[in-house]
Amino acid sequence: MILWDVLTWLAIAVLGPGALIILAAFLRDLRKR
Amino acid sequence: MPVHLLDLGIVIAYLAGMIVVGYLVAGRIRRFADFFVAGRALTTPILICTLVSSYYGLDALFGDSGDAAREGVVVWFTYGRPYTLALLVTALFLARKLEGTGFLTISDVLAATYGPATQVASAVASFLYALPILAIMGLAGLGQVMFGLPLWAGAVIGSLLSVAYVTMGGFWADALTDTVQFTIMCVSLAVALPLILHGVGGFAGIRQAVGAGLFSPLGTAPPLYTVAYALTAASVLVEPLFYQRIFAARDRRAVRDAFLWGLLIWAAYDWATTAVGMAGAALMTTGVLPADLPRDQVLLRVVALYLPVGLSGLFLGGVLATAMSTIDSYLLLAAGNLVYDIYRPLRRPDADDATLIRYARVSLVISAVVCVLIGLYFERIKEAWNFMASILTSTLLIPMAVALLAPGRRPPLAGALASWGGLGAVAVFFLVMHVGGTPYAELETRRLTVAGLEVLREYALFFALPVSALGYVAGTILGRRA
Repeated sequence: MILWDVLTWLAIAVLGPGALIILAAFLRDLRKR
Repeated sequence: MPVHLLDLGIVIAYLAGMIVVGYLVAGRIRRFADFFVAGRALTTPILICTLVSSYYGLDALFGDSGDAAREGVVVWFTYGRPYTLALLVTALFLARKLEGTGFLTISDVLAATYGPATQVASAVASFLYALPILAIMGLAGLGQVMFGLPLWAGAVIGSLLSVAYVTMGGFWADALTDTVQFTIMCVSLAVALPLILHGVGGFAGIRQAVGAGLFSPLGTAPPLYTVAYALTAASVLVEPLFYQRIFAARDRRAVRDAFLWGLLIWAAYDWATTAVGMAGAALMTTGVLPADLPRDQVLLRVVALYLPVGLSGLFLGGVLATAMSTIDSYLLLAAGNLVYDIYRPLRRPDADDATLIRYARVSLVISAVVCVLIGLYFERIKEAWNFMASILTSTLLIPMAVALLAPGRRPPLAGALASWGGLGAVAVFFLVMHVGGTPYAELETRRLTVAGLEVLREYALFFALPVSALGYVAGTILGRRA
């Protein structure tokens, strides 16, 4: 089960905090314009 | 399935926001390049958002989770990872090849190499592929499950809303709304996944319910069937949506970085849908969900079991975002195919930007109508995906590979025979399977036995790609003689 759990936590990290970081980078770009 | 007022409010606020964005950016549209590739000004973060949210629609969300409920982790490992490989090639190779060419569409590349016959063939294949039938079907299903709407009504309302803001603001509206849609679709899945897995007792609980069968990375389907699905990953290399975004990027580095980030996010998204699908399989085995639940509805039913009010509204917004970000992007591509790749070269080579933009807006609506009509015809999401990916890949892969690997003018007949040959071969293959094939219930497909060999409907590319390659060789030889 360890492999499936590791994949799951990685997926949660990428889809949650990861997506928010990308959104923040986009908003920073937008402010520069 | 009852929808709470708070959840409905979240969804309505989201939809209104999309329309406002479309209205606000409409004033920025001056040239066709503004309308179609956002003036070639996109940076890495917005490219990541528009790539991920547009390419992944409800086929990925409902289709993959439904497949995982039946087949397990093979969906992530064997069906999904060839796409990661193809995306890596796209990130590292395609952007470099296409930088500074001034093209707007994939058909432009083929027109420069082979001339108008191949350009039109690729535009026809790209148009058929770009019609967001899968997302429309998913939206219609959503309207039916969540709101009790008839299928046609969900499809029409969803398409109308998606068309509204893109018609106003073109690719700028598409890309800007994609940033919101990207965030909602990713975060909602990230929130739902641990709640659902906790609810079914984790992977240990799933294995206890369904056994070890769903945990085999290579799956249990016939090897050729698995290879056929892995082969559809080649469609990534001729994906019109990717080309449009490569041409819309500010520079090559922005494209490369966006694809590299994107393939991480796509892999994470795939795993989340696979895990939810497997949780669904456990719930179907233990009788919590009906055993005969249609696969495409598994994800929604699982979510409804484990997400509290408010979060299920967020998730519903995520589902809508997933569908609409795909519908708007692909309808824009389809409209571009009709106007820029077919109408302009064949009828009005001198058409000015204002005319092209006006016609593209009309074509958006026409494409949406065609899409709804076809969408109501197909029954299962993966079935339609295989058909469309086969059409695109068989028409474009061979001529495009030559155009990119050995740039310069090539015999027009080579491109024409390769593209029209590939397109015709897929059409004939699916027709023969439809007329002569018999249902194969276990894999929900059709099969036909030819000279002792069992052929499944998924094998179209095994037949069509060699036909396209032969067409290319024949066209090269005949073209040189002429």
